Amino acid sequence: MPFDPIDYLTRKYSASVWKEWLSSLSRNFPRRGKDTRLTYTDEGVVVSLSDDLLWRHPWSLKFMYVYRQDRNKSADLKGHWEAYIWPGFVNGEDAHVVAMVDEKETNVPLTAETAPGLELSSWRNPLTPGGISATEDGGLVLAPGEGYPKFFEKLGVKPAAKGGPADQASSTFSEDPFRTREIRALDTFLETPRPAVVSEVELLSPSIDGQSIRIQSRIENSFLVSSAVRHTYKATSKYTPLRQPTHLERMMGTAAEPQADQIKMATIWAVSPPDAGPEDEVDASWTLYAQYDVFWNLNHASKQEVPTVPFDPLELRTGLVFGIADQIFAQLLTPTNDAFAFIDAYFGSGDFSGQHWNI
Amino acid sequence: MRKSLANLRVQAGDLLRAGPWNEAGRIMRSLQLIAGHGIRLRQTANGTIINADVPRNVFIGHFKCQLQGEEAISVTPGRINGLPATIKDVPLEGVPEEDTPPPLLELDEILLDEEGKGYVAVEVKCSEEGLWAVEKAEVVQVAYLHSDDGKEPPQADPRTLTAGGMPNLPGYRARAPLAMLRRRAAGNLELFQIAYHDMGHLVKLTGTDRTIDKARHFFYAV
Repeated sequence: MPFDPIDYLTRKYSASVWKEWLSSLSRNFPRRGKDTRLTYTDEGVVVSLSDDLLWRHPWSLKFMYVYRQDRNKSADLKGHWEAYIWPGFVNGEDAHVVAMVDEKETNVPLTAETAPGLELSSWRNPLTPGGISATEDGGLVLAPGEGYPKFFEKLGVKPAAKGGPADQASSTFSEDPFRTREIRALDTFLETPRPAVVSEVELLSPSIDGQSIRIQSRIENSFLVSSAVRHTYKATSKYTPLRQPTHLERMMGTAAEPQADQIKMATIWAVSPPDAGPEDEVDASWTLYAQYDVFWNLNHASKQEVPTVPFDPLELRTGLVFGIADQIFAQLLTPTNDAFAFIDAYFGSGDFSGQHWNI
Repeated sequence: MRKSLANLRVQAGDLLRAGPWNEAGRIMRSLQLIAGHGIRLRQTANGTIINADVPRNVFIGHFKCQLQGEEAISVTPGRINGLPATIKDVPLEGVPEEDTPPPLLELDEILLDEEGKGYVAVEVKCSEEGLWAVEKAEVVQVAYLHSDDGKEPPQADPRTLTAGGMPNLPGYRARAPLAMLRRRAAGNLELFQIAYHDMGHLVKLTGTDRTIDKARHFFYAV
């Protein structure tokens, strides 16, 4: 007999009806059969195909909670989550993860026979306000929380802070009493070291040299040289794209290209059990989900390769006397079209930024 | 869950209070079915129908390489700039009109580097008139992608290798990897697929002298 809660309010049930309803609940309890995977949550049972039946794309992730024995306290077992990456390639070369092998940091290729996991530890909280600012009247205003994909609402994750005045905005209170789970996130990215160009401005005495300013560029490749491997898969709390210097920065002599190209690979979300608090840490009781940005293998190239001869310095004659810097820079910022094209070509030749793309 | 249900047992005459009622609600909620990966649910008045999208075949894709023992490798059809790739001049799909079956890449010897790593690659040969049109795309097995014969370590300028792309090989050639081979400690050979799509191909002449030696070949999924 189906149980009708509205009906329940208007009539009495016998104990036998209640017991029969409990029995039907027990009979309907889903259990795992062949080639399926069941995940029990308070919001329901997620029925999925067994992982073994599914094709895994390059860079796909599996998670495992790993206990490591603390050497100093033999009784303590410290645990953390690790991501195991299905091998992916860049230019046909292996990508690597940094792992502790025999207590040494080692670059291990993803195709290694026993590829290690990538330790996931620097979690961020996307529910908490994204920042704080002061208003003219002395009040504090909180930026809204980062939030998360709508999918996690269905699993009962608390809403992110909405932002607004500090005394109201930080609350993650939900009217839905079942949304009591916390959520954390971190990003993964792939890093490829490359040569970079650093430009420097030299002010010269016009009385001696007949010129006022010289812009010199040099190749900086210390990161490339010190990197034992070409492509490394890494995790970070929040991925921020590397920023290429602007032309203005190059002219001001403050430009330094980043010595690597990076591409964001995935965001990993960790969802807590119900009734978790904002201070709770991600442990074995949490469930991890991957949201991918890259599904295929990659190729990578810089815009250009390192020249065989050093860059010719760019010399600008201003005709001004003895380093009146503000006027010199004013001159630099308002060049004629021809001069600007020349400068643009010069700085373009010193742009070693690269790109990853699908293969 | 059985333990939770046991707590809800009542005797005739017992009053059903808020505690068991709420607990029963929690259990009902926890038994809702949610469709996961590869599963479709259809809720009806008489129950929920569970349909599984079981993959009948594994994802194949183009240029899919499979070891046939250690004597040969099969490769599914694929194209570079629309040109069918070949093994010994026979297109990977075979020639049905001539009853020629899809060819196998037969291996007299498996070429691996000192780490026990090698590649199945498609080697493109471009036209020499300077147009860099792909004339031929032949599947080969090599130890090194960037050396002339694929057997010895590359002699290419390291500046070219760090700049990315595939360096030009003598004869207007370049190789795009299709799969990596790795010899395991137990002696078995493992294959990792790299390419899954047909590819486009472009060439860029680099350096101030823009010489052919410094050409870089770029392959991309199409």
